[in-house]
Formats: sequence, structure tokens, C-alpha cells
Amino acid sequence: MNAPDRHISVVHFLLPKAGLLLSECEDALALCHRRGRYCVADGATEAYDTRRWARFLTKCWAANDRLLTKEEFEPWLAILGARLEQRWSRRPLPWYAEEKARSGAFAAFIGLAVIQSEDRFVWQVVALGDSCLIHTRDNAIVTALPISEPEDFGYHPTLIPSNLLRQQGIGEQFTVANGHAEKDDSFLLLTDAIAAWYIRMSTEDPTRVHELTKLLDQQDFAGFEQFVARERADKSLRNDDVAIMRIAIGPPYSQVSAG
Amino acid sequence: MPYSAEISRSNPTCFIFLLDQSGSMSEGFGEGAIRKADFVADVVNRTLHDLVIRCTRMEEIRSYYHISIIGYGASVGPAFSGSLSGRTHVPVGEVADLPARLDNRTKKVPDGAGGLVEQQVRFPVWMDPTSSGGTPMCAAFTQVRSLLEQWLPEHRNSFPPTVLHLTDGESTDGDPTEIAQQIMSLSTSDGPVLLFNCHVSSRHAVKIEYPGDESGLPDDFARTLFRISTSLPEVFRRAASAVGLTTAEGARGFVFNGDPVSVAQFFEIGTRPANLR
Repeated sequence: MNAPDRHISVVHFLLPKAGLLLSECEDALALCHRRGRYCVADGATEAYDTRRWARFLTKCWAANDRLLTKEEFEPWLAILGARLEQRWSRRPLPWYAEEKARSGAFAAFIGLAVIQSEDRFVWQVVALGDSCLIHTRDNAIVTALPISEPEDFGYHPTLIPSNLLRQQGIGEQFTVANGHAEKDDSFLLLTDAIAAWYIRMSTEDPTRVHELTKLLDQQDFAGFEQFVARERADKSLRNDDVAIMRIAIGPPYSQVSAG
Repeated sequence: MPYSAEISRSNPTCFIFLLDQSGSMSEGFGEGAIRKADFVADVVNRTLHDLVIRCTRMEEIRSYYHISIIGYGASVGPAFSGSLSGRTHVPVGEVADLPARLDNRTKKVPDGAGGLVEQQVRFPVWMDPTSSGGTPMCAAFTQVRSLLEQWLPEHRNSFPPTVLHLTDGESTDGDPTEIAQQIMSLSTSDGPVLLFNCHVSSRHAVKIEYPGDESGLPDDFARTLFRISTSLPEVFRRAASAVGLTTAEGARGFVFNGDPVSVAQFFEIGTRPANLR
């Protein structure tokens, strides 16, 4: 493949749990096209200030040029966690917020860097938790990571903590992987509920996966909302926040956001 | 499938703590010399603390739970202390904001180097120990039934209410079976009301936890409590597993001759419907 002939196009959707507002959504996504960096995060619902932590992680990772090795993560997370937790100490909190803040925020995270070399695209991914990368080619899954089986979701994975004491050794637990992309490959970054759905439906009912692909092709957010509502109603998709970002290699260039 | 409803602000669930506060609850319990009433009040305060924390989002409390504490002994009635005194079906947000007092306690937290350090924390107290009078279990269940009859019509699609009953002795106002069965026949669209019973004993008798049948039960009183205990739904069996207990399918939410560990686990397991939105 001749890289300069190709373009990277991105489409992403973000939806809160049914019955909640978008402002209550604890999933987050961010991208920096110029740096070729794309990421999603999923704040742990029962932890403190997780929406801000997920947004902080994605925004800062996408804006960074490094952060692709395990060693780079711990010092970066320490700075980010301290910045987040400083916000909580600015004024007295009620006892329950103080108690919750003591444990800090937690989030799953996955980041994808796509690097154009002379004659091809090389990708690298860093992940902790149950947000997933799914690499597809010709409508089939090439790679799914860090989780590849639908039954492996839902087992309280290790998440990224904001609390400095809890961050010790966390870098070692990151999954780091890389590979190269062929012409017309796509990468999906997904938070856990939609990732589990996608992997399961890829074998059980591929027509539903094709339906989702079409909605992404058409950048049809309203259609996506209806699609998610239907999948939740028939219990195929757990009622959780949904973040989905598709990074497709191939013309035409476009970037669309919704939700 | 029953017991699968999401718990949300528009569809909250309900917990009723039904506590024996008879005179015998002043007897010692476990290895230390702590009184049963003191231990139970402490566990209930901790349980309320945990329920509040589970609903905390930043400084907002999401009202996933409505909470009542009913005590029975010299009298039967609501057992909150302080400004919630006399209240039932209290939204968890109000529970959070209105403890009777905040005590200072020491808590051990990780020091980041593999050890623990002590830290001062504020610990809310909502109920104080009480122990006097007999064991009017029938009157207590009658009050619970009445509370449920108030709550259910307005929450027809909610995760069913959970009644956590703790006692140390037999009823002194008759056989509670009929009223308890009436409670167990009440329901939401997601399933019947859950009634779990924990019997505690000061004698170091053999404890029986979450049995699946009556064969190992020592007497009629144990069999009575077994029969008025709901089978543990799957989500509660998972909670039992999380605290290290193995339960058979069909295991009842019932403990007999429980010790302090059993009581703490009983409240942990019984307040674990986890499907929060």
C-alpha cells in the first residue's frame, strides 16, 4: 500500500446509559489527527469523579507525542492524578464525598497511535481495563484486544487509578501491542458493553454488525441512537455508556463527531 | 427473569432493616465482650454508610434506595436516631445528609509501600443500640407489611424490596409465619419481596448459613425461620461467593446461630443487588 495515497477517516459516537443525560456519560473519547492518536476511556461508575478522570486521560493522551510504552505511563499518570485530586481539596467536602474521594477515580483506557511510514501505516496500542481495540479487514476481525472473548467481559478488570498510592506498578499491567495496517483496514475503539456486543455478534449475528458498520459509514448518529436502543431493549447490549470510534484507512478523508 | 430490574433514580429499590431490640440483645456476643445490640447497631451503621457511598457521584447522592429501620422490643417502630427519628422509606440522599452524628474513627489505609497507616475519618451514626422488652415479631412483621403496602404501588417495576431481619430469639407474640408469608407474596413486576432472616446466638452453638433444605436444622424455631426466608437469587449468591461463602442453588437467605462474622456477611450479602444504572 502506498501510504500517501490513503487517508485516515474517523467517526465516533458517544451515548449515555438509557435514562441518563449525555452530561452524565462516564465514557470519553479524544483524538488528534495530526499526531495520529485516538483513544477512548470508561470511567468506573462507582468511583469518584470518574467522568472527569476519563475525559482527562483521553484529552491528555491524545495531545501527547509519547506515552506508547509501559515505562512512560507511571510518571505521566502520577502528574495527571495529582492534578485531578488537587481539585477535590479546594474546599471541604461532605463526609460521603470525602470518603469516596479517598479511594479516587478509576477508568479503563485504550489508545491507538497510527504512524505513517514511507510505504505503510504502522499501529501501536496501549490499554488497561476492558475497553477494546478491534482491527477489522474485509468485515472480519483480525485482532481484538486486550479482550477477545465476549465471556471475558464483566470480571472487574484492573483500571487506571487517579490515586498515587494505587498507581504503583500500574505501568506493568498495561497491554502494549503493535502491527501494520493494510489498505482499507479499520480500527474500532470501543468501551466494554459495545465491545462485548461486537465480538459476540460477529459470530452469532453478523448482519447486526454490518448494520452498525453502515451507520458508521453514513455517520448517522440518530440511526445509531435507535440501533443502540433496540439492542438494549432486546438485552443484546448491556445498558451502559457507549463510546465507539472508528479509524478507517482509505479515502475519502473526513472527520465527523456526534453525540 | 426475576431480580434483574435496573435500580435507577426513577426506579429505586427499598431496604427495610428489621431489628430485634429485645432485652436479650444486651447479652454478650462473640469472643469479645461486645453486646449483641452494640454489634448490630455498628453493622447497620456500616451498611448504611456503604449504601450511601455506592450512590455517591461527586457531591451528589443518586437516590437509588429508600431505607427504613424498624426496631422491635419494648415497642415496635422506626429506629433511626437524630433528625430522621420516626421516619421510614427515607431516600438515601437524605440518609447521607442527616446522620444523627459524625464520630471520628481511625481507619487503616495502604501507605503505598505495602504497609498500612492509620487515618482519621468521619464515621456517620444513624442508629444507637437499644435492648429492652420482649420479642414481638408478629407486630414487627405487621409493620413491615404495612410499609411495603405503602411503597409497592408507587414502584411497580422496581427491583423488589429487601427485608433484612435480625433476631436472637423466638417470637413472644405468636407464630410469625402467616404474616411473613404475606410479605413474601407481595411483589413488583421484577419478582416477590425478598425476606432474609439472620438468627444470632450468644451460646457458641454450631452456626448454619444459607441452607438449601431443613434437614440440618436443630428445632422448630429454626425451621420456622427457614420457611419464611426467600431463596437467594443469583445476584445475592454471587455476593455470597464474593465474601467467601459457597451457596447451593436454592439456598435460603437464612442464618441460624450466627456469630459476628455471619452478621456482617448477612448485611453485606443482603444489600448487594448490584444492577445500578
